[in-house]
Amino acid sequence: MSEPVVEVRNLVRTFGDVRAVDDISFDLYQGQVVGFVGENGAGKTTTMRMMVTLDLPHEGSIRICGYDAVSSPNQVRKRIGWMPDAYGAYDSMDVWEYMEFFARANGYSGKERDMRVAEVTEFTELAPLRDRPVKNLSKGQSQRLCLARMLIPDPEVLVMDEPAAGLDPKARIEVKNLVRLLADAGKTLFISSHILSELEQMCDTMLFIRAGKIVHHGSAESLKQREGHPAHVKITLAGEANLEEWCSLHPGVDFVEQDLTGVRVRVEDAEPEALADLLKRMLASDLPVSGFMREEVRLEDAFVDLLTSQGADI
Amino acid sequence: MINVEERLNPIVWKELRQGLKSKGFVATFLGLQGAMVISMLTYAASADGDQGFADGMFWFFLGVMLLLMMPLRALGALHGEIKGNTLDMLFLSRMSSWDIAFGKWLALLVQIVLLVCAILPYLVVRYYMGSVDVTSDLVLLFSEMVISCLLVAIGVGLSSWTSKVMRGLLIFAALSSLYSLPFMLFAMFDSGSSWFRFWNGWDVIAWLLVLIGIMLYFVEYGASQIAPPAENHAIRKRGLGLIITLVLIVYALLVEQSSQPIAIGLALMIPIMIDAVVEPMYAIPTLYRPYRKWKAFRWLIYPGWPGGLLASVLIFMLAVSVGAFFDGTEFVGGALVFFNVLLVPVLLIQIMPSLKRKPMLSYIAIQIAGFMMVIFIFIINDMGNYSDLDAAAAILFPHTGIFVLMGDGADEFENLEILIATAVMLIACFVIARPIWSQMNRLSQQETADG
Repeated sequence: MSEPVVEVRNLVRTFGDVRAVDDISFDLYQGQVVGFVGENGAGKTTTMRMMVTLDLPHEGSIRICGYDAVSSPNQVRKRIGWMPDAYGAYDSMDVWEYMEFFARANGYSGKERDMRVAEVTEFTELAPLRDRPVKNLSKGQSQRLCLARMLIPDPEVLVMDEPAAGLDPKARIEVKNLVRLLADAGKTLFISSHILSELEQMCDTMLFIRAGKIVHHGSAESLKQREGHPAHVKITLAGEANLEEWCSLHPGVDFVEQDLTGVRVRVEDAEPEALADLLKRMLASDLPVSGFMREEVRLEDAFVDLLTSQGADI
Repeated sequence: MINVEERLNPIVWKELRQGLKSKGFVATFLGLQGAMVISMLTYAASADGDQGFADGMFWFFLGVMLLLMMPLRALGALHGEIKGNTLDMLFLSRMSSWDIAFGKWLALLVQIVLLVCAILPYLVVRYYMGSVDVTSDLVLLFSEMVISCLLVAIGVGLSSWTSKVMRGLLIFAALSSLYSLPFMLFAMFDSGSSWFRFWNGWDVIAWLLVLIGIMLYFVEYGASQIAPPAENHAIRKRGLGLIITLVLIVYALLVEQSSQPIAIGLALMIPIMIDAVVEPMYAIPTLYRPYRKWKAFRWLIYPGWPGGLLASVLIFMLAVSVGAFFDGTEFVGGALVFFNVLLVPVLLIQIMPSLKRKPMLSYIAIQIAGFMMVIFIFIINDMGNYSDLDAAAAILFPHTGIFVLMGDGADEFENLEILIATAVMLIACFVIARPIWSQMNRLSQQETADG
């Protein structure tokens, strides 16, 4: 494998007594799309802000394209793009003015600047909106504007904090497509999101963080196939029954959710014999079970299981 | 041919595009035009009589725009970027915090020039209406412009403050000045022309240099407040403080030949010294690496309050030695009291960890509390004159000394005792700073060892 584009080693960042980022290390390679997953307050944004030189680590190091983020922040800034989860736009500007301003701020001048702005607005499909005031853009268009702004200096690494948050399905698909296009163009993307199903589709690999520590680094598939994974069973009932109460009385079986199609439960022992025994016990308890089917592990469940196994209170 | 637009600081380009369209500037511009028309009508009405009132109106309206409205607009300069959550994106472009703060200031200066250009036709009309001293008018106009540039620089610097209390106080202070503005302008107008005639070229050059230094200092202060912690702004700020002091020393020794510029200089140094002694400390290699080769001198330029304190001591000693050259020990006593007043909050902030979180706010609060306490003692003891205050009390409670200075003057002080009080406070500060310096030494040695 080639040299990593991003090298994070033993990174620590504390806020008072709290270790927001606690000794994490990972590598990212060119063209990779890496998901960064964790609960609120797990340390995702803090890690990302240190990567883009907006915050300083208390221990450890970050190297972007061979440059140290602490000692050579200007070199790093030329090679990294940052899309924060919440950002302000200059409301009185129109789309073209906004892009032109950031092109100027990135050192472009004259025709080269106009060409770069045109290129980036074309790529992000903002060209038809060039004269629209920034304040009149929809949420999805604003996200594309932020992405376009980030792409102006043609960075090698793109760090995106919740790029799809608050977007409608169409806008999410647009963002997803743009991410794939950028990865195909050789960019390295590091994306945090709460929408795991989408990350699963976009990312080559994922980093799971909890309480400042990396708890899993690998593909979504590798997380689902983790040893000791509990089984998820979909149960349909032919009549009225309180399955939640039943689960609470039976150790090793957890009620997950109920919807119109049935009830989902988590079973600690995923062996087929244990599942057969569970069904027997349900029938013995006179539960009107009409359907009992083991489900394929979903990424969300795998993530929750991982957190639970780490002692998290979900 | 040079394309000016291409060479503009991007922030100036943005601010001019946004600023000239903004309601604030349009209102100021139209307001000024309306006021000037009213002022001209007043001139026409009093063409045969006393035009003093019309003159007053002319300069008052211009003063309100340049000395009040523009500084008030400056208070939103950096605050707008902080509140709008746009700074991070600017830092990830090729702009530094200095580019941002300087661009904001420059854009406001352009607007000041535009406002002044807009009133030039009215100035010409005044001339034709008679009894106008053109030189005096131009000097006054230039003075108002310079003061406006200074106030705008202060506004840009302080616009980085995010505390609602502090911002409220700033706006209150600016609006309160409206009350004194007519008196100030009247004084300038009444005595301005004769006053300026006493000035020679060196006076103008020296004070302009000092004012430019202070303007740049405040812009740099704003930049330092918004900058990521890895940027070192201490060296520029302290350097500007030192340059201003040196200009005033040269001016005092070669031109004025008195201690007056030094006394004014010390007063001008107050914000620079306060900023230096409340600077937070970050043990970050990038901050001290470039200065490692400066050996012992590096502690003077390293960011953080201990270095700031050392720099303040250096500036103070330079100024006081020249002051003492003219006025002897009398100057030293007064200056030491002033320095001790500056030192007290530094010590308190370092002793009490809770005060370290917002050092500037803590510093100002301690100073206000100190002076309020003296005034309270003064009132409850029913004292009729500041000279009733005991100069000896200034040793234990330096704020008392300022009131003694306002009463009988510095000759009341026992210099040795005051000097001992200064030394004790400085030693205490440096004892507190020692572990921090040791840590930096360790990191520095470790970095050298690691190559």
